[in-house]
Formats: sequence, C-alpha cells, structure tokens
Amino acid sequence: MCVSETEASLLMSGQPALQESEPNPAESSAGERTEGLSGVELSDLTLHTEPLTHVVRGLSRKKPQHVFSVSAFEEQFDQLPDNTEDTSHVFHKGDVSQAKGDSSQDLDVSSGSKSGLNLTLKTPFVEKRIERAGLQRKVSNRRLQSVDAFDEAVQRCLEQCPNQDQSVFQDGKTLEDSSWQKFTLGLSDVTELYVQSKKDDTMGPSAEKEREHELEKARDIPVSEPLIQEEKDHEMESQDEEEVVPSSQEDVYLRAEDDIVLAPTQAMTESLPESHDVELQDREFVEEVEIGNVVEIEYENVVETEDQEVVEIEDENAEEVGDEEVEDENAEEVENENAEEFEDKNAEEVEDEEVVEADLEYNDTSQYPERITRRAHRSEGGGAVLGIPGTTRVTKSFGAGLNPREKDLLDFVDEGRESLQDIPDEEREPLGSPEFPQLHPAAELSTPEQRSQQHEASLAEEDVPELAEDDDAQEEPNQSEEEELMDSEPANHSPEFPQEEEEEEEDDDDDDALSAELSMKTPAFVRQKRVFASRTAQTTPTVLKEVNSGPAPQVAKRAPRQKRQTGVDVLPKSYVMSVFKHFAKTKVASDVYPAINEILKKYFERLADDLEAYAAHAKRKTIEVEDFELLMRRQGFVTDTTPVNILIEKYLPMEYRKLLIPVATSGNKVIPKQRR
Amino acid sequence: MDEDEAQKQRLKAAVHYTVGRLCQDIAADCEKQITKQTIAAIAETAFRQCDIFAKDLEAFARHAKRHTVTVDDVKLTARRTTALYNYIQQKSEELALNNQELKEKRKKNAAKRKSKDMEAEEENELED
Repeated sequence: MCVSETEASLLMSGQPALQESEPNPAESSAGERTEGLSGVELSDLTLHTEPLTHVVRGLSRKKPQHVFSVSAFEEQFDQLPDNTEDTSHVFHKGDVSQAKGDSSQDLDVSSGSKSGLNLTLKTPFVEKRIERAGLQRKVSNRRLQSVDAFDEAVQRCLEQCPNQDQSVFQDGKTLEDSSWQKFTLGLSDVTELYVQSKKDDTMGPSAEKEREHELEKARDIPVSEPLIQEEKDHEMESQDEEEVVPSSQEDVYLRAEDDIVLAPTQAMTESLPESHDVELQDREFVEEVEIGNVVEIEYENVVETEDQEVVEIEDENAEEVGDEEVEDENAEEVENENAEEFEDKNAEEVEDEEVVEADLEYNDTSQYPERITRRAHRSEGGGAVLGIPGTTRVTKSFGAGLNPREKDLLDFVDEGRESLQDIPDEEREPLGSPEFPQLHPAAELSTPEQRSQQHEASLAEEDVPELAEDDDAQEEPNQSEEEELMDSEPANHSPEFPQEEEEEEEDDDDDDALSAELSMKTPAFVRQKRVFASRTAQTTPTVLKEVNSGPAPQVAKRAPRQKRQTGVDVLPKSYVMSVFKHFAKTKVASDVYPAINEILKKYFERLADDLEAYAAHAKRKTIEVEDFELLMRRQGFVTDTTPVNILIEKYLPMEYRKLLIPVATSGNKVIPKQRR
Repeated sequence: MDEDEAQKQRLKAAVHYTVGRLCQDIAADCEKQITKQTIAAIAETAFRQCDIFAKDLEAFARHAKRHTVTVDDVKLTARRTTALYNYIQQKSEELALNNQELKEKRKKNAAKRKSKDMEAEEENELED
C-alpha cells in the first residue's frame, strides 16, 4: 500500500505541478493516507516522497533548481551516503519504502532536493534494480541457471503447492513449461495422455481426466525456464497429439498416486493439454511425454498385466525411478534428477511401460485408471501410460522424464527423447522379461535412440539393450536391476502404450527434425515419425522386427537418426509449408507436412524416372533441356498454343530468360550462343 | 475443315462399332449386360485417348530426332501401365523375331536369285 500510495502521491505531486516547490505537504498527505503506516513510517515516507516529488520535478526539467553543474552533482553525490542510510531504514521497514527511497534517491539527482536524499545519476539504476528485482527476466540468466538450482526450486515448488509460481522463471508460457519440466511426469503424461486419447477413443475418458488434472497442475506449477519450454514447444508441435494423449494417461496414474510431488506434475500435465499453446504443451508433453511415453508405453504393455504388476511395479519403480532417473537416457541428466524425485512412481511406471509395450491397446489402459494416474505421477515426462505397470526399463527412460522437477529444462528434451526410446523399449520388454534384467541398462539407454529410430518398434527387447547403451552415463545398474524385476512383472501393457510410443516417437522425430537448432534432444524428425508410426505401426510385428534388429544397430541408428530428419526431407518444411499455404488459401496445419513430404518424394521420383526414360529414348546418357521440354508437354504445361518460350517469359526472371531465349543484341550478336 | 470433320465422324463411328463388338463379347463372358450409353462413353474415351497417344508418339519421335514412329515410341508411351507394357514387350519381341526370319528368308532368296542371275548371265554369255 505504501508503495502504491507513494506512487500515487508522486503522481499527484508530479502532475499538477512539477514545479511544486513544496512536495512535503503532498507527501505528508500521501503518507497519512497510507494505511497501517506508523508515524515513523509516515515520516519516512514523507522524506522519501519528498525526494520523489523532487525527482518528479527533476524529471520535468523545468525546475530551475536543477543543477547540472559538476559541483552540484558532486554535492549530491556526497549526499548519497546519507540518503542511502536513510533509505536503508526504509528498507528495513518495508520494501515499499525501499522502492520509494530508491526512486527518490534516483530522482533527486537532478533536482537539488533539500532533503538529504539527493542522489547522483546512479540512483536510477538502483531504483530499477530494486524495484524490479522480482520482475527481472533475463533470458541469459535463465539459461545460466544451474540444473541443481533449478531442481531445488522445482522441488520446493512441488512440495509447496502447485499454486506457487516462480516469478523469476515465470513467463506466460514458461510457467507451463517450468511446471512441466518440473513435473515432467505430469506434462508428459498430459501430452501423452492427450495424444493417446486422440488416438484411442477408449482412452478418452481417462485421458481427459488426466489431462485436466495435468493442466491444472501444470498451471499451478511454477514455470521452468522459458527457454526450455520454447524448445520443447517446437518439438512438441508435431507431437502434440501423440504426446498429449500419453501424457494424459500418465497423469491418470499420477493422480491416483498420493505423491504430492506428482500432483503438481499431474496438474501440469493436465494443464498442458489445456494450455492455450498446444504446441508448447506438445513440446513439453513431448519431452515429458517422451519420458512419460516411455512410461506410457510401458503402461500400454502393462495394461495387460497391469493389475498385479502395477502395484508391484510402482513400488519397484519407486526404487528404480530413483535409479532410473539417474540413468535416464542420454537425453538428460536433469531428467534423471527428476526421476529420482519420482522414483517410486516413475520407476514403476517406467518399468511397467517398457515391459508392457507390445500391442497394448488403449482400451486396456482405461481399465486401470488408477494405475495410470499413479504412473502418470511417476512418469511425468513420458506421460503416464494408462494401465501399464510400467516396466522397469521404461521407468528408466522415464526416469529422466519422471523427475521434471530437477531438471525440467533438460529433462524435457531428454524426456521426449527418452520417452521415444522408452516406448520402443517398453514394447520390447514384454517380449522377454528375462532379457530385461540384462538389457535394462542398455535398453533404457538405447531407448532414446531407439525411439527415434523405431517409433513403431516398441519391443521391449530392443529397449533393454538400447537403454543400456544409451544410458551409460545416466543409468545406474541398480535401476536396471530394479527395472528388470519390474519388467518381468508387467506382462500386459496397455495396447495404447505402444501406440502412444509410436505416436510420441513420430512426434518426437518430427519435432526433432524441425527443431534441430533447439537444444532439445528429441529430434524433430523423431516426432514426425511418431505421427507416421503411430498410425501405421500399431502392431507388434513391426516392433518385433525392429527389436530383432538388435540394440546395437539401433543405438547406432538413433544417434545419427536423431540428427537427421525423418527419412530425408525433400524440401525444407518452412519452404514447403509457406508455398502450400500460399496456394491453399485457407489455414493449413503444420502436421500435414509429412504427407506432403511423401507426395513430393513420389512426385520427384517419378519425374526423374520419366526424364531418364526420355534421355534413354533419345539414346543419350545425359538428361538435357529438351527432355524437360518433352516432360512439360506431357504434363500439359506446353501445348500447341503455348510453347515453352511463353512459359519462360511468364514465370522466369529476366536473368534466366536471357539464358534460355536467344536475344539479339547489337552487332548481330545473339545471346545465348546458339547450340544448334 | 468439313472434310476433316466428316473424316473424324467416320472414324468415331468406326471406333464406336468396334468398341460395341468388344463390349458384347465381354458381356457375354461376364453374363452381364452393358448399356448403350456405356458403350458410347467408352468409345468416346477411346477416341480421345487415341488422339492423346498420337500427339505423344509424335513428340517422342521428334525427341529422338526421327520422322517415323517406331515401337520404341509406343513402349515409352505405355511404360507406366505394367500389364500393357509387358504385353507390348512380348509383341514387339515376337515381331522382332518375325522380322528377323523374314530377313533371313529374303537373304536366302536374294542369294538364290543372285546365283540364278549369275547362271542366267553365264548362259546368256555362253549363248552369246
């Protein structure tokens, strides 16, 4: 109040008459108006307000009192220490006074205030600094935030309440991001769940619930670094649907759980899908989803065997999560940290998910809403897969995602990756539980890679070896062991899980490719691939095939794959979309790009084939311009009425036209030189 | 111009007639009936497609710097339709074989004739 009042007083004093010579009366009145201010405070305020008015006057620059001489400044400068002392008192009394004092100090520089609060030029900085301490947002600072610090903050936030918003990191979107990152479980769950729900109607109800929860939590949860969010957003764009669904599923699990920590994640996840920025959410979800996807995938697999396994897995997951988190896929250490936090839950979820993978359908997941919620909590990032007890392996990968708190920013990226990886891993897990124990460490590690590579193949087998490979640095042997146990347990994973994984993977792939620049580790193409994979590869056979390929090759594939785009983009997405939108004359969603890409691919392949045939027809080995002219004729662009030259004149710029159409210049010179 | 139109109409009629006969045979095989409108539509489509083929073949021949449309041009036209392409391939091979045989025969005949002529000349010379 003091601040506002003083400000008001300042305004009042300033506006009516910048030239007021006696701000004191105004200030004193303002001070009187302040409620709850002691007499001392009032006096202080007056002191401060006085300078403020002075400052205001000083700002007006109309005051003849302004002394711009060096000597005057020096005098004022000397007075600074006095002023600072005074202001210090004010500070003690309240921040309000502080701000005022600062402002007064700052403003008094120019004016030859009679009060001792004249300050030199440097006060303005002080003022700003002090006043805006809480509002400052420096992108650079944000990036520099250490993971540890972030994790701590996340933990604090989680502990307290999802309602807390960290102002420092807060941002319109970052809030969601941060919340997501912190509670990757929630986010991933949300996205995954959301995505899954889209894919599966069965998942709808549960997913919706989860999503809602997630959204709520996400909103409440403080925002993680905005940067991460941005990155995630990019990645998540394509993955939105897929991730959301799985994440939602996870959320369901999470919610069931009593973990307070997870609760925010749930909210986050829930809120995520609801968030206005679908893309942002998707990203986060992707990241989380990836982590959670893994979880989800596990869930899917687990769904089948959930009932029993879920419980067991969860317990195990708790333990493993901690371990898994550390092992989290290469993607992010942070995620691991988060996973640790969500150990209990994530471990279970992850494990279950991984194991379960196989063709679990979302229908199954719906049967285990509780489990899903629990898982969601744990899985955080990966988006809890409903009904999947969460194979151990999955948890590992999710581990990173599961504990968004610790390192949400990184975790998201990693999580997304992990989720992708986890998904394939998860799918594999159900294939062979015995294999899991051995493969767990490898599987998880490789999952991130695998995911990107095999959206469709969620075979557990693959996951395990992959994880092991990928999570070298992150995974802990303990986790693998734990996961193994869990993996063996969850035999049934919700079918949705693999779907989710696929979806997520596709999304991740796509996103990765698109956001290659972003620090997000989940390759965009992976996300894109998810889109494809989710729709096409929903059967274990493909997964099995991929699994059989072996972890090693997959791991090798993943690394380069993540860097490349899905397959090979025929043309840059931005260019293609811009051209398409230009001619479409209506809004075009960005997720049409994969389809367009395929079409372009086929078109150019056919084009090259025809040109080759034409050249061979002319008994040549080189494709010439006349081959193109023939092609245009066949395509209908060139007819008897519109020769090629007409088209050239119509569409090509002058420079090119000169090259193609002979132009007669002075001196009987023809350009270009006639070849025939 | 009128003659062209008249020519065109005659050609169309011929095509229509042929298509009708073919459709009747197919209908008999499938034991189904084909309406006249269908036959007319098929005939019209076939006629237009012939026109397109002709233009393409001419373009292909010109592309190969030839003045005559050959089997290669036809093959290039049909390369997209697998079944038709294979059929044409077989036919072209058979034709090639036949042509070869014919050529061999002609060579033999030519050789025989030459020898006969030689003999005839000799005889003439002898006679003379």
